[in-house]
Amino acid sequence: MPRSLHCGRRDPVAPMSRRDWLARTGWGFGGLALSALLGDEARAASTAAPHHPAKAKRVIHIFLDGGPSHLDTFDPKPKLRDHAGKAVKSPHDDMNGNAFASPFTFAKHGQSGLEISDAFPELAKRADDLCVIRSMHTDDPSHENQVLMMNCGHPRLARPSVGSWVTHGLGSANRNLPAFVALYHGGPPLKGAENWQAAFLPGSFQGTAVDTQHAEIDKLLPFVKSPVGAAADQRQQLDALAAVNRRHAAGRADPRLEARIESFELAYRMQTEAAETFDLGKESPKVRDWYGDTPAGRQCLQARRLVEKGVRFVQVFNSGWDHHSDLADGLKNQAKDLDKGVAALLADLRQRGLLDDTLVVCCGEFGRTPTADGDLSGVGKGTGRGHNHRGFTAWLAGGGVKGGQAVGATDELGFAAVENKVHVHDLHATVLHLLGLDHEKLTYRYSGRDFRLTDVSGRVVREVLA
Amino acid sequence: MTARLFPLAAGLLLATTPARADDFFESKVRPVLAEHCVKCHGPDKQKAGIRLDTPDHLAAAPDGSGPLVVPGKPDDSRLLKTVRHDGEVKMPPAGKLADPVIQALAEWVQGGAKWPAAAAARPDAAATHWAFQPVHKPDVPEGKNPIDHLIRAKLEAKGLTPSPAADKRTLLRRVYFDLTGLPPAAEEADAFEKDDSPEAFEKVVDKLLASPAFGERWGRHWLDVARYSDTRGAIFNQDGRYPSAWTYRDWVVKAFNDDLPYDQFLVRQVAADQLTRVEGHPDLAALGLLTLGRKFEESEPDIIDDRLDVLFRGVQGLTVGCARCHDHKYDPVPIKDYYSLYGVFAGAKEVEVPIVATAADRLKAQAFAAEHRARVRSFEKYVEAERKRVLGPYRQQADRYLLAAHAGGGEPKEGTAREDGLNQVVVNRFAETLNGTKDNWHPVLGPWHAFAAVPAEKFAKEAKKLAKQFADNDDEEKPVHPLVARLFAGKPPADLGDVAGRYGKLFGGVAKKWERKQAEADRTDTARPTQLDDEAEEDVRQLVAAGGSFDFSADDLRNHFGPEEQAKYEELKARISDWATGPDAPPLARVVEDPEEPGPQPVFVGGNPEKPGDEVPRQFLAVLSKDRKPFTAGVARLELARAIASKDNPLTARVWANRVWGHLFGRGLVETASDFGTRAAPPTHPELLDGLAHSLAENGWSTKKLIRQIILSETYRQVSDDRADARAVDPGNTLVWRAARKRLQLEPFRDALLAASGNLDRAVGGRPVDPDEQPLSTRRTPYLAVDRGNLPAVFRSFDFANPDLHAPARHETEVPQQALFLLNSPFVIEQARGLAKRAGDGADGAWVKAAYRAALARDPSAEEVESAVKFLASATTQPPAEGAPPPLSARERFAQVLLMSNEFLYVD
Repeated sequence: MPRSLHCGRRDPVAPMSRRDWLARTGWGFGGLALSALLGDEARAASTAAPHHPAKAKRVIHIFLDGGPSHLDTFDPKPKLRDHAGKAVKSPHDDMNGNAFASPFTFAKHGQSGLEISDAFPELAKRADDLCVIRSMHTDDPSHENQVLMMNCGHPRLARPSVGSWVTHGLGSANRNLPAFVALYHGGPPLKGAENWQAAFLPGSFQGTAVDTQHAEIDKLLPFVKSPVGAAADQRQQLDALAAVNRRHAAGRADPRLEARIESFELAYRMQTEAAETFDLGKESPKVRDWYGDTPAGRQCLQARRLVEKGVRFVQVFNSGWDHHSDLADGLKNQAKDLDKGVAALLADLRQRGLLDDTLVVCCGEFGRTPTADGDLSGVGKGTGRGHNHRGFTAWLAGGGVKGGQAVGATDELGFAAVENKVHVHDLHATVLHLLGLDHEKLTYRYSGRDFRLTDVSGRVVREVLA
Repeated sequence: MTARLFPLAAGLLLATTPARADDFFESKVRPVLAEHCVKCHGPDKQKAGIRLDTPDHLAAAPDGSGPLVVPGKPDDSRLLKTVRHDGEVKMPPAGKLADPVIQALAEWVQGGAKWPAAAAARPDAAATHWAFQPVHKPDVPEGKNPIDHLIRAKLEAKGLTPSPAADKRTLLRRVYFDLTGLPPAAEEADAFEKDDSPEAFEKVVDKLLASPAFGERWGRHWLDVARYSDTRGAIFNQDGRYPSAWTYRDWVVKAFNDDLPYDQFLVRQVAADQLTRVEGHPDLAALGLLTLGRKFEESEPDIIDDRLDVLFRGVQGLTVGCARCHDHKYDPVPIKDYYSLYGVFAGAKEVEVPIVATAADRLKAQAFAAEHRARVRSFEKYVEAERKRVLGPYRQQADRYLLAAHAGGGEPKEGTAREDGLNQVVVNRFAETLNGTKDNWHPVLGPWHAFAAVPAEKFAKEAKKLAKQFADNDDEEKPVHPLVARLFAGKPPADLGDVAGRYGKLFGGVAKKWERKQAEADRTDTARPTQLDDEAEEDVRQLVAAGGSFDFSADDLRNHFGPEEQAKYEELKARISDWATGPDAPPLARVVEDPEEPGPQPVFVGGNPEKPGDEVPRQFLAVLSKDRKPFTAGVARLELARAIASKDNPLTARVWANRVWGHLFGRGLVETASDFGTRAAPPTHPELLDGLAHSLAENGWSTKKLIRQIILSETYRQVSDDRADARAVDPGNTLVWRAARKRLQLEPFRDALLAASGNLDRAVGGRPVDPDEQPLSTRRTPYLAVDRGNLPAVFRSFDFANPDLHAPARHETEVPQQALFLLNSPFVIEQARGLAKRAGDGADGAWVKAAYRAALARDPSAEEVESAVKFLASATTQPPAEGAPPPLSARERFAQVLLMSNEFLYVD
């Protein structure tokens, strides 16, 4: 039965749909084994089912907050050199100015010969894993709007985030960990918690946000560790609680009471498992060096540990890509730590056999202008680039993705996507497709209509698929 | 699971649930027929006599070859054979349809080939859909309680009986939480149990309805409808706090406690200002319903849509938001009606005004305003100085910037200053504005573009013609702004530089006048003006000052500041918002200020404000109006509010009565509390819903009377116990054969924890309390700050209503974060310690008894005492780690067990 007819509204007379149960009993965070409560159908399956066979089972989305330049990373424009410093006109007259040739050097990499700049020397060694979409575009050049667009599919209104939709569609693969984790470093990114919001989906599908600047587990996940008392004390206490609750449940025949009894046991186990998962000290120094002992390196390593343990959707926020000035040094420094971390992540996933069914997506909210920008006072004038929503780059790797290729193209100076244009909605549709979800069928009924991540648009970009 | 795998299951569902079948038809079938068939088989052409835009020919086609469709049998249906290219006739002629499309048609036929009347019958829904019909008082035999009578009638029809009455302690706990969100004390339960008088229950109900805690609980229910928050949401580098939100929250709480008639309650929240016309009236706080939503990056269409959504889903059970882009697909709300409502709010501004109830308030408000002005002044002066320092005197150089922008491109040399001394960023801003005004005639800049288009060699001749044309200004297609027309009277311009010079003088003059006016206000310590008095000059000012398209706003500047300037800027800005949210600020109301002369309101075609369509009058929904007349200008909001709060409006009373019922029974008579449209399931008990709605309006719209009436029914007083026989017939308890066992929502749960420990602070009202601030607040939960930009994790994991959107109902999830909070949060640990202490220092047996009474308002059974005493005797406590806080004692841990128990969280 098509999911669009199935989700969203609970029919109180019929037995609840399994997805409703999953929602209510916390599959968003690691659901409960409710075999006693669910129908046969649910008992047979361990997670919610995709619409078609999935190529990827989990996602790591590395979000480059600020609008990284495509022209200095993955979309070479040698013609800019011909016009360097000279006035050029953009197709929509909104980015006119002096052409700014990239201070970075591009070279062909891997067997595929994919062109990548020297901003990403380590990642370039994984070129044959990467599918670079050079024809991304979106609707306007405002950070606020487009950060939300990329992460939730709408520039302003409260809509569920991609991770919420995915966990709504697929559930969790580990009952003891959150299904959707957002990692940021040193304070939340622009638009804060809206980036991982569940909006009208049940709150349990909201991302669990973690500030990776903390090392202590109880700062990473609230209340995961007792501030007083030892585990042994707590075990005795939980046994007493179970006894009290069982006496209460007897004769009440209410599945919710049983579910809550179980949830305390789950919480007890989570304290151990979550603490271990988030403890990077469990990795050898060699592995930590490989990723790099930097915020970006640690985030990438954290992401690998999480997906390895069955977390469905991990989002890494890497902030600082808004290079209006001083792009040559600024972008170089910004890319450096991420380059090491993300290259290690791809290699590590590959060696653990996880890359085959883990989708890695990397992009910002938009790209940058081929023309020069600078701050108002003239400081750094001409040393950076402005916002460009008409053309930018995203790359994908891993489960179901055909690596070693570039899809689509911008015009010869990189102002706008012109060939095989891929809108943010299309990227979303493609990501869902790789996860076995049909973006037109993954819906939720709210306010009298069926909502979806891609609203009324979106197409699967077939060229991306392996 | 896909359709292809389980076509039969899909068919079954389609056949049995009409709404889903409609969905399927509307999304998968109708569009296919419309796109591929109707051109030749529709209203214009009927090839082979067949039409596929109506269901008329499905059963028997006029071509004489039998039915096109055999319901349930796609393989026998001609339609399917044709599109599958199985027979001689192959359709559509342009090429075979895609497989999934054909599959969808097959599924539709399999499911019975229902052709929903929804779209066709849309105009009729007003006449036929239950929710739009007048409320009818049901017939109930004399002497019978109408609620019990109508509930029993439905039960009997299914061969069911109601459940017996709950025991007194159970009932007391239920009614305490339902009415006040707080538990009864053990002593109150003892007293109620002993009171054998027939009025015992009534007395308790009346006492609770009169307690201030009633408004705190029911006010919070309303705040879910109103998507209440103390902040605007996450805004980069800005203070998002609403200094006034709490006055709305307190107004709502008080309105429930005072039993403000529900119709008045609504009218004041929509139009208190137009009702009272008294400056500083406390009711102005009620307008928070309209003004405390998210701000959507200041996008007016989104802000108004949010208001309409709150109002119409919240109060009318209508999803009017669906008509923002097109006529509502299912309900009789055309897009024109949406914009008729939209117009009521268009162009309005939100401002914060002090609430002034006493003379002392007035003095306080004046002192506050003076300091506020001073702080605004220092901020604005800083921004002005920085604007000049960073960008130069560009407001007085418009002539040179116009020419530079016209020359285009930018400077040839990268990384150095422009040789002409102009600022490239300003040049770009001018160029952007010129580009944006080139294609459509602009009354101020149109003449510039016309002159600029003339080649230099022809300038002398052409300029004369153009100058005359603009000075005469009689071309209706291309009206020229009067101040610009004046520029070209007299001697025609000699060259484009001359034209630029004339514009420069005008722009510079207006900017200077504006700056002088600001300085004058500063000198006399009055509020800085927001516009110029002269209308024509004001038009120009909006272009060349105050962040207009030739100008730079404070925010523009901030984006390009260095760290030092940023810090200074933020500091000065924070001084303004800190003052407004600080303890010295008077209570403020965030009110709506309508535009003086509302302009015409067009439909936005496809929801796009840049595609204005037909103009529409400001008026109410057709479906809810008898003799619809446009609203009167100046009081449109008040008239809208009265149309909603009218006795003749069939939805208002029904929607509210249904919400009240839902809070008390865990489920509304209409399950979708905010959608009473044609696609929602109809009420389980239509007569009962009408009975409640009718008596609400008859009893002066008293919410308290309505609640009292429901609570005193036998239906409410049933036990919540399961009954296998009844469950077999009605597993969802939609017929109310028992009371609902309800889980406490976040607020009553947290408040009950505080009540059990004896720590609950019963102070009423006031500024919001930071939930994370140490020491942790012990105020009632509705007084904790709701930050929609960063909702505390506890709020989210306990299913708090999402404050970004109107919330029809709360989700109920069981997630391990809830258990972790109870096990490990300092807040719960504090309450566990408090409860252990409160239970005294008697021997274990006595202590256990006291702890049960404090937490659950009942004595423990002998078995419970024995089991607890055994725990206390056997529990070991590990010594704390170095420097760690003291561990919980065995008694404290048992106290925590009681707080974590299911009995504590669930109300029978």
